[in-house]
Amino acid sequence: MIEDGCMIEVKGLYKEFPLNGQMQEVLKDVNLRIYKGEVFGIIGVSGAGKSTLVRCMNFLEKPTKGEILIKGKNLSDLNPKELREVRRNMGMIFQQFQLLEQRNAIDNICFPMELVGIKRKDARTKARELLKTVGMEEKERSFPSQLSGGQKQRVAIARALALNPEILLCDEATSALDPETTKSILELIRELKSRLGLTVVIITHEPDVVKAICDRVVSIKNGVVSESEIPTDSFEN
Amino acid sequence: MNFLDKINAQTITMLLDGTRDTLLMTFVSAIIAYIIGMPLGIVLVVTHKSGIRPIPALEKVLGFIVNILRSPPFLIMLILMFPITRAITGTTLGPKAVIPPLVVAAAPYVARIVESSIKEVDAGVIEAAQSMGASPLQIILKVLIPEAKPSLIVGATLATTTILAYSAMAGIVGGGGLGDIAIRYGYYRYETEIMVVTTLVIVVLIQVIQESGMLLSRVTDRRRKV
Ligand SMILES: Nc1ncnc2c1ncn2[C@@H]1O[C@H](COP(=O)(O)OP(=O)(O)OP(=O)(O)O)[C@@H](O)[C@H]1O
Ligand SMILES: [Mg+2]
Repeated sequence: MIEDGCMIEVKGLYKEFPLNGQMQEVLKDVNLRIYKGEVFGIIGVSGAGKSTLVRCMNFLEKPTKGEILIKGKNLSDLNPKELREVRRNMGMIFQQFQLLEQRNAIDNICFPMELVGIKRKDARTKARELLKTVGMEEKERSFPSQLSGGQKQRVAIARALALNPEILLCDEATSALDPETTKSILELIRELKSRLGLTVVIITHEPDVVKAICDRVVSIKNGVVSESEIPTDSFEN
Repeated sequence: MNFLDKINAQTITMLLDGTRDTLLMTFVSAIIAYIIGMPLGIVLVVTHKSGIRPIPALEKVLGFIVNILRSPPFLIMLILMFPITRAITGTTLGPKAVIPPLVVAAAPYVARIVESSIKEVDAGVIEAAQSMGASPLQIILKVLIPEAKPSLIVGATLATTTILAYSAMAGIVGGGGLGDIAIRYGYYRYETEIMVVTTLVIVVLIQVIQESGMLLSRVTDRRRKV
């Protein structure tokens, strides 16, 4: 089924949104193969369609045309229940962290485990482990409003990993953070990737992020994806 | 004439009974109105075309019914409801008879208040839950309601004080409670003092409910910096 280790396959993907009564093509014939264990970058300016593309990958957004295959499973063929199961194998983190504001750090991490009915005691044990992994064991009882941006993203990463997913989708995960914090978050993602054998998709508008972490990158412009090179330092100067 | 002359033991007993009746009418009506209005408000959000389980036709129909029920002035509602009230409670007088019209007037209002609180929940957080494989029911129970809790409490405070004010209005048709006392003494018997005191009691009750509701909302809101 996935002999070649292809975790995410995007085939002939089109996505349209209505705009002023007309259909606006936001993604045009996108084709991608993302392999097990790689960190795959998608870079583009604001409005290029990056978020739409990554949201199509777990069907938060339904494609207008085309197919998404996760480990060979065509998402269009799945019923809602099966789709939810596939999503549990795909952690996702966001620019604005999207933690539950009324839950403290550990309860945020327990949230996805509650959804699948893991016992509270086991969930908390696992959540503590994860807090340690992301260097937040001191902040177990802190609420999001009491955490810095970088700390919130660490909790969000721990939450995204709570169900042991094989895939991690990152939509501008460092765009709200300063350069130092960005670096530490990227290091954490890199380390988790090696340790857990994750496949990581990184959406960004910052060449530095791609340089720091990606094995492979494509660029997206007006909804069209094209091959791209990892930028080198000469690029900057 | 001394203002306090009128405030004798008998009057105090009457005011206490009135307060009890008013609170009873208010809270029983509020609870039933929430049992009906809260699910309705949630359904309005969830089935909206941008909701987590869009069923726009249902949302339109429910929204329409809610608007119609909210339209008549409360006094008209009270009178229109007489036959139904009598069928349910066996009477159209006293506190018990005010509960059905209060519920019918308040439930759609509660639905709208709940709807607006639930709508405040960040779409990004809902999407994060979906990305973790949450079902619509799980999103309602574990994301929408808990995240909207402080706002829901503010809404419940507003709804309860409004119901209390409506219940006082029912005094005009012999609905019992403080409103009834105020009207009987102040309007029919020109005993202004008793009307003033009764009104003061209503004001105090509303203040107390309002302040405790806001306090409860504040202390349970985890977004506050500690
Ligand atoms: N739900 C939607 N309805 C209508 N138009 C949308 C919707 N989502 C995205 N779009 C449009 O699609 C285009 C691409 O949006 P998208 O969010 O994918 O861009 P992006 O590359 O992620 O940008 P940014 O870097 O600002 O996040 C934009 O023109 C946007 O207006
Ligand atoms: Mg985006």
